[in-house]
Amino acid sequence: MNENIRRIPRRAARPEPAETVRGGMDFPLLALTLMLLLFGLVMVFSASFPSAYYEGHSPAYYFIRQAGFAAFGAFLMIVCSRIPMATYRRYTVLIFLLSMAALALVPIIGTEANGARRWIDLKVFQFQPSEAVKLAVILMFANMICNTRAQMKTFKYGVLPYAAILIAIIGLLALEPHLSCAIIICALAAVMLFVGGMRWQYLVGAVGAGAALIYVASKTMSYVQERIAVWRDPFGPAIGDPLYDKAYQIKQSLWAVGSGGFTGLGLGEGRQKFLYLPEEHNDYIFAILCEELGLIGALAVLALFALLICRGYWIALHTPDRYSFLVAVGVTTLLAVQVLLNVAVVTNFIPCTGISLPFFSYGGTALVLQLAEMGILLSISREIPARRST
Amino acid sequence: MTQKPTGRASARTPNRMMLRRTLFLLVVCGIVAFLVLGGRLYHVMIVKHDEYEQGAISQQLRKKEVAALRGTIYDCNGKILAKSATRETVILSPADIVKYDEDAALIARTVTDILGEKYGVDYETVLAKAENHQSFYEIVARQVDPEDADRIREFKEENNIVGVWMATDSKRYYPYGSLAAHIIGFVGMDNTGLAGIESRYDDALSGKTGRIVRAADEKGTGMLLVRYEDYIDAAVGYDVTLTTDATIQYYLEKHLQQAVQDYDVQNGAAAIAMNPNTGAILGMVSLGNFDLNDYQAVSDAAQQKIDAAEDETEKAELRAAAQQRQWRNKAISDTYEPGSTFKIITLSMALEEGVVDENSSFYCGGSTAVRGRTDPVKCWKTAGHGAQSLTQAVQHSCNVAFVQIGQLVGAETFYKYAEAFGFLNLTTNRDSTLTARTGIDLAGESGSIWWSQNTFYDSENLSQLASASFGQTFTITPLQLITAVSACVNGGYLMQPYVVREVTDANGKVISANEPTVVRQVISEETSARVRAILEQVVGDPVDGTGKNAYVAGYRIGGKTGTSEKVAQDAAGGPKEYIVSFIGFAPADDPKIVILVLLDTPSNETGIYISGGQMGAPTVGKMFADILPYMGVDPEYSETEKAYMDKTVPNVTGLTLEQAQAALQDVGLSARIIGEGDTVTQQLPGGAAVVANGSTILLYAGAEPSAEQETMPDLTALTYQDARDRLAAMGLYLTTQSSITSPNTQSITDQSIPAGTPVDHGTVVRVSLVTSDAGMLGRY
Repeated sequence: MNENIRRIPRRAARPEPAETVRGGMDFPLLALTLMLLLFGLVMVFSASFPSAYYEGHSPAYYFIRQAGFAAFGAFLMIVCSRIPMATYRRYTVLIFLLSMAALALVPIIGTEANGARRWIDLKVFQFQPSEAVKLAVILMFANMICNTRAQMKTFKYGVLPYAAILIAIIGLLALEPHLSCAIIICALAAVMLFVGGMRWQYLVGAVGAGAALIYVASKTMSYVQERIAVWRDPFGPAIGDPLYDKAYQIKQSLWAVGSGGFTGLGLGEGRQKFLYLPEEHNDYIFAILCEELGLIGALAVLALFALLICRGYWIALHTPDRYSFLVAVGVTTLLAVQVLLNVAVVTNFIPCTGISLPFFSYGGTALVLQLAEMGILLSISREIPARRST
Repeated sequence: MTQKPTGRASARTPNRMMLRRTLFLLVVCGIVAFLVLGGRLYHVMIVKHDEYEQGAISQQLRKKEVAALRGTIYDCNGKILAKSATRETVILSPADIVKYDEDAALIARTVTDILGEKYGVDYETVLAKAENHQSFYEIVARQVDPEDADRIREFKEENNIVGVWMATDSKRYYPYGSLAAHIIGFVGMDNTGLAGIESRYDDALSGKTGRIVRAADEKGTGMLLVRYEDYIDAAVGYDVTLTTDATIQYYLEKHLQQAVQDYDVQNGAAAIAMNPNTGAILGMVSLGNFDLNDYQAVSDAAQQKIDAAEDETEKAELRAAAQQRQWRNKAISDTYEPGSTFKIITLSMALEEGVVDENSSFYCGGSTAVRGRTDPVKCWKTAGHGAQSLTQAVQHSCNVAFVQIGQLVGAETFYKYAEAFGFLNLTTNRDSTLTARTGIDLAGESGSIWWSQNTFYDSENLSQLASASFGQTFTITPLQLITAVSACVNGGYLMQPYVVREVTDANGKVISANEPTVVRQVISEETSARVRAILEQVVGDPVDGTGKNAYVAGYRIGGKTGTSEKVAQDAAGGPKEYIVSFIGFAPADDPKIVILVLLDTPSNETGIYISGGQMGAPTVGKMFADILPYMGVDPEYSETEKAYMDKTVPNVTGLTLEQAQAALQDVGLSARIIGEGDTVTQQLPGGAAVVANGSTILLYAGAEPSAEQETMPDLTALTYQDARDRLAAMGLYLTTQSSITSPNTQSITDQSIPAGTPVDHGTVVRVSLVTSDAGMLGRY
């Protein structure tokens, strides 16, 4: 075993957090992250070469770009893992305000694609502030919960400030619009407040209100009704039916996933990526993975994610510092929510909404930030006190 | 985790509740949710795998069909009766014409120029199709010859055209035209069999359509890196070999055609030749006929009627009716009252049951009373046949005797035999029409209509039994009759009739074969032999035999005449109409072929007495005269036959007069010398001509034959000898295919050169003779 890596005893004594004492990175977390990153890169190549070709690029176009983001992200991950948590906490508010500012700029100077304005053109790549806001919310909420302390159980201090921030973020996201990101941030915020000590009654109330809202939306908004109809029967609408186009993507996704069987068609041998399945290298890359690698490959990837998530929570559970603990929970939960929702959408387990799969889906901002978040998690892991005796 | 947070530290470290809630999160988000998703994946990828994979494949694969070449139909000697050749279908894709901005007018013009009238293509129609922009598939012409299709291909390549393309197609050819049309059948434009063997054996003949399957992206072009192509070869259809012999079929058609012409038959005719020992159909013809290569075309007479029709609807109706009539296979699709030919069946059952034998005697006073009938049953010979033996009763075709024989058999036994011979079906049709069919492997077979058991068994009313004894008041198909009569003469075995001998693949491997199938034995071998012996007397007895006109010199032939009045016509009060028929078999001691001829409604206008004996028998006789030598049956001539046998004139031109005379004498011909020379410079008739025995050949020794022409005399009603002598005086010659058995009672019925025609010296005229002694004229 690498000497940088320490076994963390199950029942280690919890000393006072000492910011100066930092150990090695958590190897399982690092290994799982790198495995998923490489796996994701390979899948991006396999899934994207037809699109790259049809769009007039070199078949490796998306792969090379994603590899560049991955390299930069990996570098950023190492940098982030080297930064002590105290530093993050010090700059939390700044990070949050900058992210919010960027998000606020999007409706003004953002570039548009597919009917949504989500990106700011940085010339080198398109920056997506909504991705950054996810991280900012984690850091900000962790900081606020630490500051709020015992008053978390009150409505005035434990609910209102957070609700205000959320409403502001949702408002800005609604301008883009970026519904799926709003859902993720809401879920993330709910989990952080839950872990941060909010009264569970408030949480139940919030969830209940959310459910009621969805129910009302499903009865009143034709857009939501359509999504639900398509979710229930993606094969129903015939050509000519207005729902046909809306059902098209999920139908293609199911055909791709279902084609996989136990062992799949073989890496690179998938067929649904040949202009049949839209967004095959972004939100629906998992469908291509299922088609090519079969149930075995799909379960292997899910197992890696599950291990990574368990490891993330495990690190949180062993973190002596409350702020670090909350950030670890937040980062891990963000990862979990995205993975679970993406796979559920691709397999038509829930109505479709655009959520990318961490490490796999093509997209620079998301990948770089995802790796940065892993870097923060690694940084947290270094603050776990080593077992004194072997 | 068990550590107790204390004091200030408790605010900086996660408290117990936080840890508990995180642990809950870990279990839910890290384990439970993944298990649920794993289950979902299992459902989508394994449980629904086939369904979803099918959906994906259905859109990913593009299929192109490749038409299979239809199998060949052979006669029993391997002569090709039907064959397919590769052709192409020319198709427009107007949507592509629009998409690739091609010139619809240019395409239409070029395609019309290349295909044109040959395929019934005109510019306006093609242009209209080319401008139907929504469509991807507009057929311009089918069955286009490859060379014409190649010209379109050149045009495509030169101009880089996508909007017109070709698909494989094929066209059916029938080398013998109308020969065996009703057996072979025909195919429609889409190469599906519509009649006869083409229809019945369509599955075997049509082969398997091939497919080219390839993976394609959503735009229909190939997939990058994925090179998936699968070829399912088009399998050529199986070949079908018939039991039918094209030569026998030809003779049947030739003589039946002749009979239809000679007797001016109004309502079609049919003939069947069967191998009685196997049930194999050697030939089958129904007239009027049609050319398989142009099966839609109707006969000239019908076409004239159509052209004369007033409006289009009437024209269409007339055309459809004429087509239905010509396509109908009378031999198996039409039912009729068989009449006296059925007496063979009555005879067979009576002999088998032992109720009569060759020593039985029957008295015919011209009619006989039947219980349950108000009027007595009349014999065709109203004066009566007097006392007759069984053989004589059959020879005479005596109705009175057969009513008696039927009553000796009894209604129940008669009924049992009728079923055993395949004329009715009690097992599956007890309460309905009792319809029975032979089950021959041809499309369109009809079935018999018989009396119900209760009516037939009525002991108070024997009229049904009486009529049935001589073949009236029920209807059967010609095929049923020949099948049953075959059983009577082949040793008693009712055979399953069949037309297809075997189905083979392209390599000659037998896929399926029809073996002779015995349905049941109806009468014993011994009875069958007795039936054959009696029936041979019907044809072979030159005095008493009603079937003697079927006799062929040198051959032993058995048979029976039939003449049935068409009852429906009679009821309508019109002139009497008849179906005349004859069924014969040869050689009589060991039958190899049975022939049934049926002429539906010969004209009253020809002057020839309408009966099976005068019309059916000679027709069958002529068929036997051609077919038996072809089948390799050796003739044995009697002395009379030898005396009247036609002779082949040797070529003696260039020989000395002595040599020439000797050569002629050798074959039984005499000579008359004209001129003063020593050598024969010319002879009339020339070498190889066939003339009557005893004819005098004209030998010219230096002299020239007279250029004067003679007028062909009317030979009708003369005896053979009289005609020969009369012609000889004019320097004309006679020949016949009819057999001369009783030179004094046989008279000429028709001549190949009509009376009054100017003819050269030395011309040979062919005549037909029938026995027409006044005592034999009757509807038997």
